[in-house]
Amino acid sequence: MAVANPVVEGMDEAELLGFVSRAAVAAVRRAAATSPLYRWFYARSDLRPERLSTLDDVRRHVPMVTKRDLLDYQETLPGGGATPADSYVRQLHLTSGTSGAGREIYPRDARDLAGLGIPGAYEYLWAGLVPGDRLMLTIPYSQTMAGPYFQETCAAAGLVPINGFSGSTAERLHDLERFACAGISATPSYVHRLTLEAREAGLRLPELKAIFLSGEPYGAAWAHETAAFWGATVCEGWGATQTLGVAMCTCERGAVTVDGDGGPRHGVLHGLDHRCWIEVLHPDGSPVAPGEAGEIVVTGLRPSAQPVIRFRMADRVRLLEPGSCDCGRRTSCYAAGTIGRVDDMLKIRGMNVWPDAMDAVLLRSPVVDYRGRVHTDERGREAVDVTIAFEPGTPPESVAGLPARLAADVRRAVGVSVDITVVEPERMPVEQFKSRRWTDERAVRDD
Amino acid sequence: MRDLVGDGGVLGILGERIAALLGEFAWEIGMDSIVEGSRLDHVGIVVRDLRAAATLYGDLLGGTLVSGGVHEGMGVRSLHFAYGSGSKVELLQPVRPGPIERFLESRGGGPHHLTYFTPDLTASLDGFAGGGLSVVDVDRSAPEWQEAYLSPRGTQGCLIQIVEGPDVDPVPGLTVDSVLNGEWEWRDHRPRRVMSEARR
Repeated sequence: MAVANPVVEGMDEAELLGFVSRAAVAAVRRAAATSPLYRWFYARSDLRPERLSTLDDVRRHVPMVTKRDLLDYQETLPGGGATPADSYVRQLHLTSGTSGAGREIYPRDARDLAGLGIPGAYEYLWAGLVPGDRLMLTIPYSQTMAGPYFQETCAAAGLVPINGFSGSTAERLHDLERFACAGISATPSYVHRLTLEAREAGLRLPELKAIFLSGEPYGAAWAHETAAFWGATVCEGWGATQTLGVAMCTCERGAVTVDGDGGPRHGVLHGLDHRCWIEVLHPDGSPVAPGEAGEIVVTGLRPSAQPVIRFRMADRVRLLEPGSCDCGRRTSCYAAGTIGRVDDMLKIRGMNVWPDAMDAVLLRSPVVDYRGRVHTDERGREAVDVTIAFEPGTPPESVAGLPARLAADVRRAVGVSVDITVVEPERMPVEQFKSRRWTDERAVRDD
Repeated sequence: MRDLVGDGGVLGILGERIAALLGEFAWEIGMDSIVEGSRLDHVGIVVRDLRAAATLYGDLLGGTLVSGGVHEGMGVRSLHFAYGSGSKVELLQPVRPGPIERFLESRGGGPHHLTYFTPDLTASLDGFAGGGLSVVDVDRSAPEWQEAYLSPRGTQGCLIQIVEGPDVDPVPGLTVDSVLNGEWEWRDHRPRRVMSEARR
């Protein structure tokens, strides 16, 4: 078994729980005393941080925070949880803003940056990579957080990053072979595309040990076939800007295992509990039981320029019994491969895409309705088709250039390219709910 | 050293990054209640004969006198000696009945407390509380000098003072004789010359 940190991994369940409990209480008190955001937020409640002493106290008395709360605060006091001009701020990380609701601002200080890569190092080292191994990074550095995060994670694990986010798929395959990469980090959809192209080219990469997935759900059968093709472990990590890196990840057992009857099933994600306290909650805020799914709520345990205390992530996961992975680590556990959204957000080519944001662009006169479909094309690429209908009687000449203009508007506002086709209104399927305007038919979703 | 590092510049930022990395290292080895970025400023030692102690810690052990004076509130006269490594000792002689005088009478003097400087007293207190340590005598009355003590009951017998405040720079003109003659007193956490009628 690969060991990333003998101290943390050597803690038994009670020791780890005690550590998390002390750290979570301290994090709440610290945020209530020093964070402008939480002072503002808690002033609206009757929270008495000095009376908290256990995780259960925190669960029962500390209000949860949402993206909307943070955005409201930033509108009240522009600059985020700390003022960006503060002398101790070293970086500003912003969320993508593709929700249309606004971009959350995360000021980072020296402590944040020192810890930025550490959680991800567990993911890579547990998967069997060793210092000196090369890891290809394919996820674009288009947002502030991604670049520093991936570079620091490689640094924390002693890995050599191979930046593969520019160039074609053929060039990436060439670099994977040329640099004898031991790992690759990509979305499931992009791994699918790489696999198709490698299969067509007859390429094998004997040095490849692990494929690190993130960003979207995938099927167990697909992951099993992918692992078999590459002869590598398929792994997964989950994290976000709010969690300052991954908060849960797979171990050397990988993200897919094979049942006794030979059928693939999703593996186990381990919580990096000593750095991030993860709750999985029902919509009413009560904790789910092992085996049930609920919303992920996170509390960052390390001191930070922008603390995150009971932050509702709007991501959904199935909770498992602690220590339910065969590896024997006594961490909290979650089902790999299944993390999706509690809302209707779609992840397309690594971008967060909300149907509301699409609606705002597309549903303008003379467009009366539209349907979107995300799928995998014959080359393994993620593609988005949008079908629109105009108001009856709209003169064709008045809308001649509109599909191209709408596609450009979507690209600008939401960050993804779409192909737009116009149909007659009567050919548009009638759906009652707006979320049904979208279907996801990507090849990696096999179950 | 502090003059070299300062609050900015390459060395200052490098020091900040090293301190942050040390904080991460401590966390990863399971130290969840450390005082991050803190440093041991001095050891407080209670003595019966301040002049004799000054000879030992100054002349014989090579310390440089940096501050001192009478602290009316504590009922002590003190001398601070600094050493090349940046370490310091604070010599405390009781001048009237009080806790220091009782310590001297009951134990005959010796090490009395450790003083740590922290960049964030609130965060430090949170960490102590999280670690189950008992914090006593929190004093935030002076914005420029905030302090608290960890009870010896929770620290295996050692009184620990935690301070958030600026360093006390060496005081020009301050000598052992002038302190022993009562020419200096502690006011606002700084040695100040006593402005007696005779001196005016």
